[in-house]
Amino acid sequence: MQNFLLFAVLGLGEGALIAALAISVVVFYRGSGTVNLSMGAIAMVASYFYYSADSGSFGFHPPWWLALILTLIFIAVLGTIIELALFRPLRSSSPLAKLAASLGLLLLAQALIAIIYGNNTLSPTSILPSSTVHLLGRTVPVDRLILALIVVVLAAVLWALYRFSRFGLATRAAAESEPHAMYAGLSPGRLSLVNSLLASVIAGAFGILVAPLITLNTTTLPFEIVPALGAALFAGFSSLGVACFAGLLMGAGASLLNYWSSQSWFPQSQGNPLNGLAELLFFVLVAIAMAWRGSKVPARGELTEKRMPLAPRPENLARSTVIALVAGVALLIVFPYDFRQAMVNSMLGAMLCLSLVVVVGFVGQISVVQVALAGVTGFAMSHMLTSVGGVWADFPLAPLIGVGCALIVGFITAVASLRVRGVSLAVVTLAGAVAIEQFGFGNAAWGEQASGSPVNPLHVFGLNLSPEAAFRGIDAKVPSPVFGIVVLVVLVLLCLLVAGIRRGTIGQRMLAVRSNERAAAAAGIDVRRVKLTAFMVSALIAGACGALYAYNFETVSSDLFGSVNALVIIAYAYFGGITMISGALFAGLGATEGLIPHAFDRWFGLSGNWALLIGAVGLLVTLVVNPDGIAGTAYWKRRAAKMRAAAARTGESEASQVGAGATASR
Amino acid sequence: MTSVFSARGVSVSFGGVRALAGVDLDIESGQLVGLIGPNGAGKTTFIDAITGFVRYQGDAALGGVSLNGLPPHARARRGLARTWQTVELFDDLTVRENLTVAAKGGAAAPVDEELRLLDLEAVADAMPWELSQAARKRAGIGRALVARPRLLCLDEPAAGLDARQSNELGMLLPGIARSGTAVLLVDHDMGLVLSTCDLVVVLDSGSVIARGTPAQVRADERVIAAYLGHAAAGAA
Repeated sequence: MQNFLLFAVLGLGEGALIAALAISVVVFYRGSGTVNLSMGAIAMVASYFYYSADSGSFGFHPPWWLALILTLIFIAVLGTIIELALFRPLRSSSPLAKLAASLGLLLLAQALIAIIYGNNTLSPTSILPSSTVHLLGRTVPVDRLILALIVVVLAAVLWALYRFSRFGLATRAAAESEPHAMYAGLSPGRLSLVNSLLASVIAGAFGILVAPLITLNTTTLPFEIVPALGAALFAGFSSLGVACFAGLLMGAGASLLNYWSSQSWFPQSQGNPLNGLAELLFFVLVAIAMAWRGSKVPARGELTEKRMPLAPRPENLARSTVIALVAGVALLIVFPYDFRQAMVNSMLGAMLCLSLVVVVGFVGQISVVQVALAGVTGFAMSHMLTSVGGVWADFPLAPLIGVGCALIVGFITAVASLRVRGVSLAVVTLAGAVAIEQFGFGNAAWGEQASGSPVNPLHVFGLNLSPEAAFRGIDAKVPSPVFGIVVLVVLVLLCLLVAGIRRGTIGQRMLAVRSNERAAAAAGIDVRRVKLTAFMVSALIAGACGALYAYNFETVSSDLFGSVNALVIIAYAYFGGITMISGALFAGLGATEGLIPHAFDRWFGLSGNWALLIGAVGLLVTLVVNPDGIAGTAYWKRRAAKMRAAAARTGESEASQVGAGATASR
Repeated sequence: MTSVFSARGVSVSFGGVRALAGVDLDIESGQLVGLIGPNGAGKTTFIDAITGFVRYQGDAALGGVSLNGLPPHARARRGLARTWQTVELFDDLTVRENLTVAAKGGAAAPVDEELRLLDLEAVADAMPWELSQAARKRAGIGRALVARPRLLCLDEPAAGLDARQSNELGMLLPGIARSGTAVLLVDHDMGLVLSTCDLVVVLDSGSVIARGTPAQVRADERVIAAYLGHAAAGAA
């Protein structure tokens, strides 16, 4: 019982951070209607800024309180810039676009911090006292209790602010209906700005307070947003009190779970404590919150809401296929070995983006779990080698079993999507992706093994098609173009599959469901079946990609299939054009260690963090300037030219049928 | 003639509010039935109920087969089609695709036929948001008709149309009924309903207060009272 109390109190530190981030998410949502994934990243930026100020990196050594004030001013200015430059232009954009914007911010913050500070872990000094107190017979650190108290007081003050002040009333009115708020003389833009500032300062302040208690690096604080989103979901994105207490309980629960996992009676993984239990707990809690509150997350009465980018019918398939195959084979043979490897990586990235085209682009279900599905395939293949062996570890059984595992996980995700949709689904799949990464891949019994996770080379009925195949291209180096050609052929086949889906009845049904589930049901479409089909096709593509990833390196690493990569892939997919096959191919060029990052590295000496930075900036600029992505914009230009030509041919006969403001309505 | 559709004692409650109270309705094949009533009478709720979008008590049957408990898409596949007060086309699909996605097996022939009959051929490859309001309304009706339904429920199809467009719409409806599809028309445009329908049913506060030919309904004092108030009915 005494240890129970001790570990529960120890968990209050992280719990306070989760609670504060959940509160900032709720405050931000109230102001702008955006579920902001970047609040943890803002906490991270504040922590690093404070660390620099406090350690004298700015040329002088200020007292801690001055460093704190300087940091909060910096965060307020940063929050203002973000609101005015990014979220305000996106106020009338689709929920996916807003979510992608916050994702872009998260990635941008990670990239900038990694470039400035490196990827090392830092140890900032704590503002809070490090003394202890005796509580129920145990010695407990006082800083955790202070943090918990601060976050509870903060929740109470904010509650009073929204309940009794004119600002709070105005915020609630604008959240209910922006047009009516405007009729009443309120400015939704100004209210959004004030709430965004408030949310940013809260997140930043708690980042500074809690960073010394946890690890200060580029992943820990940004990904505290996952449990925070769970707490915000419990709160229905509206109740500050529920968000606060859910966050505190989640922190305490995670700490207790970690304590219990070290006990002899608790299940273990090959003699070691189970990894990723906290992330698994957070996922389960998010799923419970979703089942309980998912459909009750308040919708916002916005002035206008744009739809997702158009998903046009693919044309000229035969010509595109021939060009892709001929050009692809030629490049694989001609390219030097490093660019050949980068091209293979790009094709694999394009495959992952293709799986997003089906599930996000066609059906509008924002799923973050695709990269994890690829990882499930890879680790399943590795375990077929290390745990079973024989023909089970070779082609075709190993990849088939791997893809089968991905399909099972994809089916589970699909079942979750039947109850929730849109941004809510993004939250639950993000939590799922983190849980799969930490719990699924992080335990040797079923995930990454301590001595590595090897995979047998790709031999198809005795024919060596692996990167070590005999034919080595013009420069006679590994990887062999043969493996690249295998990847190319699979990519082209998957593109044809997706094109066939879009051109056929099932694709039309998917888009009908994306447009309007109610009208789709009235037109005789089984919405559940369509969603399940999309998720399964998407899982199949991700699984195929995972198998090829495994064959590419002949070993599987959890680094490749982590949550950061999942978010990067979504960023690039949106950047390229998430509703089009050509968009997936564009996106693949920028995928991790793909052609564009490799070219930057080779020609300009810019590392992976610079590629991440360029991807994040590209995503943010695309969202504001070019919301249909690169491929989407190219399509619109072609379509406009075609319509102008058609109008010139047919004169004005069609003009009466077509609304004058058609283009403007987009 | 036998009823293609029948409703018996259809009731709907929202919390403590009873939106429909035991509505009975029979519609015959090829019949054009108007469902009218003042605001809040329960007209749209009745369509929502029988098409499966709102839970109800009572029985609804199409072609003698019960619809109770079926989800909306299953009712649509059995031949119960509907349109919406606000046109709910699939904005991500072209007009032709909007119709194709609802056609049985994605068949092209009925799609081409509806595009021709509804004068939508010229805009078949346009996106819904590029159409005028009248063309959007026609596309909505086309999508409902392309699956060759046995009963078509039209929820305020004339809303947002001017008098000429409303007249043009009215001229379409008897043709639809003559092809064998029964039509249930809900609209506030009394001229449209009384000039096109064979049978008119009047709802008030969730209950049927009158039914008959347009002439009978026009003369019914309960209908006048429902629309104009009891004092006006007495004066009449």
